Amino acid sequence: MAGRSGARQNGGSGEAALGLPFAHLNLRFNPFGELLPEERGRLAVVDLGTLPTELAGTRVAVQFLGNHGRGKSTHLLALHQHFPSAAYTQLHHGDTPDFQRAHVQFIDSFDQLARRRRRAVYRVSESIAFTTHEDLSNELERFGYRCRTHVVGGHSPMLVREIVQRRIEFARRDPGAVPHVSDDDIRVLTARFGDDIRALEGHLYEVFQRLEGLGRVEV
Amino acid sequence: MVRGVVLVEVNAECQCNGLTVAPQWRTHGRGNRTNGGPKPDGVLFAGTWAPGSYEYPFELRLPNGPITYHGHYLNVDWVIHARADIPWAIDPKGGTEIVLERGNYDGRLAPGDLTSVDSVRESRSRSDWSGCALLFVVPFLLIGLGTIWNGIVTLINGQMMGLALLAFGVVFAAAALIFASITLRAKVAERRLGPVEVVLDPTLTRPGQNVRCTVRFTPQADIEVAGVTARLTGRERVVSGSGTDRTTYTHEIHSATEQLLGQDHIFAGNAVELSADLAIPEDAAPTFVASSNRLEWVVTVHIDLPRWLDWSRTDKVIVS
Repeated sequence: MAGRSGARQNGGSGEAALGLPFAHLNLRFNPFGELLPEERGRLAVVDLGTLPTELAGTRVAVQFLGNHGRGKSTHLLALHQHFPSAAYTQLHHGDTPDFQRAHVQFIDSFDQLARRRRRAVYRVSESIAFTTHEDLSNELERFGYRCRTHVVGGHSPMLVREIVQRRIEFARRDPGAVPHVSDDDIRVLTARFGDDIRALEGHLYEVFQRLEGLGRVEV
Repeated sequence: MVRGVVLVEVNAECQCNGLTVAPQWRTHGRGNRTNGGPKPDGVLFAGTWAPGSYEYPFELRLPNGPITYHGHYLNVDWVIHARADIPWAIDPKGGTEIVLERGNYDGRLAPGDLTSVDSVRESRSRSDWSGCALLFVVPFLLIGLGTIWNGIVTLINGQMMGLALLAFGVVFAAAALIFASITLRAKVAERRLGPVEVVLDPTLTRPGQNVRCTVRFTPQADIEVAGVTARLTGRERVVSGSGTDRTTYTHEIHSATEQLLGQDHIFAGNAVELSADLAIPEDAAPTFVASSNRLEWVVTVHIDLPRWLDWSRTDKVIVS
């Protein structure tokens, strides 16, 4: 397997002592790997506008709608940062959790719930924010919610640059230089991946795994 | 053993319900992050802090694993984590990274999340699923074939709806056949080979040791065998995301194949016993198991049967 200078890999073939991870890049970890949910919320580059204020009202529903990898969950996590004590539920296929009565409810992948179970959520939630692939606005209005739909996607090169820089800064180990992704490279990435941020991050993960030193990152 | 000092800077007088320090392992990389480690053993300080600087020396015995690992999709690192429990405030915390190596330790290494060790020990051949597979395959195949028949009849009657029925039926039948070929492959192969026994010894091993792989079977009829191999693979498997956004990433860190038998003709009733030693590399990373993140070592035995479904089975070994 390919080795890195500085922080070396171990595994199945020929390695000696280990260093701290990504120290050769002045980073603590690969910036484009998975983050904890609260870290993703903190690092989110999103424009929520008046959604936090609106969601604090009564009978308001905010749905983040979009394709895979466009940042629905990141938007929801960023909104949740404004309601840190509110329940946040990540739904997986087949999950049937019991939802407690709440002023605001945050649910990722709400469309994973059957319609009958969604109705039970509406009965115990004054306001609700969720991600979905399916537009649930008609259903929400029938249950008396004022629905705000936020379609996620269509990211500009400037926003992509901000996302990339925040991720690298968050992974920084010490003051000083860290790998740099130029504006030209951001444009190349945007042209290649469009608004699929997850695919872009996946590509940069592999690029950073191969990086051997500081300087401009070849994307 | 690790020794250190917790430095505390107090700006204003406050009550501390407990200053604790504990080692914690954390994963990072392509998979969802997870962590673990022992709970703090006692408190370094409890009481009232006046403004000023304080030093609290500590000495911790580190667990015997998981050791530090830097791979492609998976990394395991250790942090000495200090936390002050301050009532009615966000607890101040800090940490410093350390590297935990095997060193001269020659005992067993803990493979991460200890509650999952039993699941590592389990090894299940695909043929073990054959009963469950039939419950899926038979109804799907019947529905598929029935729908195809209905589609044909509907088309003959001049209704274009038949095309949709035909497509639906083909999808159902194809899904059943693909699933059957994956899950029932071993059962079908054993119609010729007879029951196949695979024994790995030992299943709990160490870097630099050999695992003896023995394969036994007695063919039910005369058979041609194109080859029998045993492949030792070390791989990282991590899961990113969840629900419909869940993706599994696999990265092979080691692969070595031993040939147990070349092309051969075996007569019915002849008991066959084949074996080979599979070498665990000297620098093999130990088995690691945690939520969404694992490093596993597996042995895959493959029997290549010309003009018939091949027999294959994968078993896990624990590298400690």
